[in-house]
Amino acid sequence: MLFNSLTFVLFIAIVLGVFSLRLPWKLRKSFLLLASYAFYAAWSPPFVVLLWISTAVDWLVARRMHREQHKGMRRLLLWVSLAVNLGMLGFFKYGTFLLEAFRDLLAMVDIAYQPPEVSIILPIGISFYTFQTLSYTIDVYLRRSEPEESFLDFALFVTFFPQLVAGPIVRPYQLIPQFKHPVRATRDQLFWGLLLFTIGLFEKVILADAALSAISDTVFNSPKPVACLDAWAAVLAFSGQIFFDFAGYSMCAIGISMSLGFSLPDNFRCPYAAIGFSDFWQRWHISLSGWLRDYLYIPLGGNRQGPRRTQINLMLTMLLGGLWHGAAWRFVVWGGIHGGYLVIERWLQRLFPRETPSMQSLFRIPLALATFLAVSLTWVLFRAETFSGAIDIYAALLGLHDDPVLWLETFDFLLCGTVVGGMLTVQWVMRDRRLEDVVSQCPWWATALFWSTLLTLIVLARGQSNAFIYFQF
Amino acid sequence: MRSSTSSSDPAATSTFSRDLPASTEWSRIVLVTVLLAVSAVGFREWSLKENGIVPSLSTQAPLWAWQRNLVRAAPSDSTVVVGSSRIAWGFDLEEWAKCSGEPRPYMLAWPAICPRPQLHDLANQQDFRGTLLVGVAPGFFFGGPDYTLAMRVRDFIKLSEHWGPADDIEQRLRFLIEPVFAFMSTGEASPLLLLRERIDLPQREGQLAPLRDRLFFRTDKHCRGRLIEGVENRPRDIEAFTSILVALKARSRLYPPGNVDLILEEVVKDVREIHNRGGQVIFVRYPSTGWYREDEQKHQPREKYWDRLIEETGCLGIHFEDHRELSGFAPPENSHLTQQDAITFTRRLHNVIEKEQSSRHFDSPE
Repeated sequence: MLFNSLTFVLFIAIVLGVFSLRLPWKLRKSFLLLASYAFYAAWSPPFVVLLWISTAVDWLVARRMHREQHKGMRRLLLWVSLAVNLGMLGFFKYGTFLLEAFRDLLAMVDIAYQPPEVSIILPIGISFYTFQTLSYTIDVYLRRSEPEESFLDFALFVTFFPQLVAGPIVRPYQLIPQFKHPVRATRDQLFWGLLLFTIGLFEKVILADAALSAISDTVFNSPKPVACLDAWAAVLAFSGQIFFDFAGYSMCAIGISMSLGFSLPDNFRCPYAAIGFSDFWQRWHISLSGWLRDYLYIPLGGNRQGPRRTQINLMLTMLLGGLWHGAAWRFVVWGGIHGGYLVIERWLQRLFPRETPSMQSLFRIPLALATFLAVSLTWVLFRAETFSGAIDIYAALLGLHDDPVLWLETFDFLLCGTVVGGMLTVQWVMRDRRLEDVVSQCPWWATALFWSTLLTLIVLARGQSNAFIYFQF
Repeated sequence: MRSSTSSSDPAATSTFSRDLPASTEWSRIVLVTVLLAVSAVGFREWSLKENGIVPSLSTQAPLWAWQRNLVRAAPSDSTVVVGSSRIAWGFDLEEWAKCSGEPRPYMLAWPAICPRPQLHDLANQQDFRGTLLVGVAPGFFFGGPDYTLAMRVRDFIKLSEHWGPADDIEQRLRFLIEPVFAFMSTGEASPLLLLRERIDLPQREGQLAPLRDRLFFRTDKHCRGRLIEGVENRPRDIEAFTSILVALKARSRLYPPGNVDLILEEVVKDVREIHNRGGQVIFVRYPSTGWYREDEQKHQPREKYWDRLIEETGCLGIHFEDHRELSGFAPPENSHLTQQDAITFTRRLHNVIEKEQSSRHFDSPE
């Protein structure tokens, strides 16, 4: 069920209504769990079974693991959890990719192998809830936390509908304690949540879909080489589109949770105002970056084993982070480039360690723009459907095509420039500010005017919306 | 833009929570927001209707997928129409039902798509043994596999195969709401289109002809499209509609043309599949005139495309040029029949098919 659908409007009205009734807390939580299953089943009922398997296995494994003193047995139990969760993820998401990689590997030693043609449907949000449940089991294994006593609370943690299919990836300590005591949204929480939801929807429906998607789609789907200007506009438009699409979803998830009385962590903090790549990854898809840092980068040794090993760890983490986004080599390369960026950044930091604060402030805006540009260039691999498609766009960016197609109208450049320019300006201004503070300082009528404008535009442009990009991951 | 959280880690004892804006006057804000938004949307609705914009279902993939799933559940001997806009808007379901005395056919034809994947899809529906009317607009029917606009029908088919309860509820809600509100209609109601048309900017030299999202048709819940009423009497509309066709033609030329031998090979296979189950396939070539007809004749000459299609499939083929009663129509922008002509054409098409069927016997290709 998409947030940007009439069905969701109906669904959330029912959920908010029933959840606010004066019923026993356990009953209200059970209703929320059922609603979450209904939310997921509304897309494809059979795949709810995967959620049940993941919930049951991790619940049982963690409890047994906690009681178990034998180190080998604890490790075995961890492997059971990893095998079940990653096994499902591997089959559904990477099955075809692995078969094709195996075929290519055999072809390198002259063995012809044609894998059977299988059509595997990717269960929506599987990458998100798999990582979420894994963090629970790993934390219990590492004795960072105790297993959850209440099955209902744990099941709700795995299934909580606002963030189930596209994050933020929540850690057990962030969400489960909120289920322990009766929660009822206050008037402030309800309206603040609805305002956040509206902002998120505006980012998705108006900025990502109505304004930018057609520009990037037209150019990236071109059957013939495109002009240099068109390629630049498309790359910048996609940078904006993917941000508004994903940050919009996260904002919707945070807003819906808030209107129910729950808190979810931030997933984006003005990432295009980042100065450098390390800063970027602390602002973009924060819940995934944090997960990869805590469960992959640090266990690999982090930065504790010398510069060379740190570089290897960074690279491995980013390569796997790339693969998490999609079962294709393009995503691996995308992760690799980001890993390379981080390695180079560390090297430059060692080379120029004593920059004065005034120098830093002088270069802040150019450095942020350079970071944005470098990140935008990597999105080409994300958006193009093949390597050759990506290479065509890179060539177009350099103006290397003869007789290219001029797809975009002058209006498209104006639209792209306005939206992307506006996005960069707003992110820079909001870089070190909090939305709550800005709203607190605004006169009430300005907030009402802002909110009603967003709402009106969403309603008027509703018919042209698409599914969220990150649903495919 | 960041919003705040009191962050915690696994070791922390406090419950994770987000901050709220300090002392905000929510009651006033919400009241004024709702009033302003309702007024703005209400004004837009009024102004669209004042300008003659009639509410319509949005012509998007879910509507097609809904209809496709109705076909899956329909009696196996049903009549189904596939093709692109010419037959979608030029075939009147009620008129056909009246002429044939049979239930209303199912409409799966859709603007600017290639009907071959539809034919293949129905050939794979093992219980389908009804009558399949295939509209042949040469540019789309013989389009190559990379012609993304025409081949988006493959995504429609996938959507219908993976149709979930949420899709179903969404479509039912759309059926309820969209026919009431003009602002929900795609195309003319789009604020972006309005801006695009109002801001007149110079274009680059050599730029592709702009493609406007203005729709000159309306679609009902049976997927039946109709050209909007009276379009033929409004020269500006005809000019705008023609410019869409010109832009589509220019874009189609960018894609590699389809290999007619391979295309026919696949079509024959699918036709044979349907014939073997006792169904029948009838190809119909709707009228086109003027520059559009000349363009088609230049790029897909009848003898190399249409005639081969009919010969190699062995199917009944009705070409408007071969029947006096089907020629003589004057599509306002050279490609699509008006509402009234669609009814007349359907009636005559039914009579022609009946006559042809009674006078000829068709075998499936060997």
